[in-house]
Amino acid sequence: MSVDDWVSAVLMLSGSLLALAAGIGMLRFPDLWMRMHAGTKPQVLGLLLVLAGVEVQLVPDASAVVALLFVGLFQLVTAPVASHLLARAGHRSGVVPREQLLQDDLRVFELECAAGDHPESSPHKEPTPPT
Amino acid sequence: MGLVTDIALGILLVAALLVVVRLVKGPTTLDRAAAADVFVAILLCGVAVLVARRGSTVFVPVLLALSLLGFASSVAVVRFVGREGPTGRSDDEVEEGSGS
Repeated sequence: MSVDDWVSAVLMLSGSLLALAAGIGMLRFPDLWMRMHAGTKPQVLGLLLVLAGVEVQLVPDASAVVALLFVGLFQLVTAPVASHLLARAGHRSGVVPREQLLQDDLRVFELECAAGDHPESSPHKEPTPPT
Repeated sequence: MGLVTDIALGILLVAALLVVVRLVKGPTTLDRAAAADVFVAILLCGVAVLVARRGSTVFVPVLLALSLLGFASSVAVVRFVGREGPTGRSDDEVEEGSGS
């Protein structure tokens, strides 16, 4: 095996081991946020490691390398958005233990909206007239 | 090189099976959405390793399509589910009930 093969093998195996860690974490962690914490590993770092390993193998084929770079870029852009929506939905629907949080800024923001401190954010209340 | 990709595919298969167990068990729909997200990521890793194993770039467009499809599906599920609480009440009722 040449040096390229060794580099590619190490990258692909470490990415696969991150995926395995995510699988164990998804199975054993008790609530949604902890499972998301485990599941983020193959979504970003594991996938980027595996893609880097594959790109080392495919390096004479420029178009395939660019396509794989775009796959990594899309995943970097979309994974935080999906995780943000998922975590916020978990917070709102109460499936996570919110009372164990030391600091809950989203709850504070919801209470402020309910009290009318953010007029444009609360459609239920009339906006306070400017003085 | 074939041995390395075989080992990587085996590890990814075990990881995908563990995630599928969570996908089946998941007590709430949000847990299932998170598990589906991770499953798509592991599937992306598997297809990438398959590209390296076969040495052909036939499956590279599959990678591009999967990376966008996984995002769209998880966002759709979360937007659909996020409006109601665990008891089936809507979000507004939960806010009013806890706020008063």
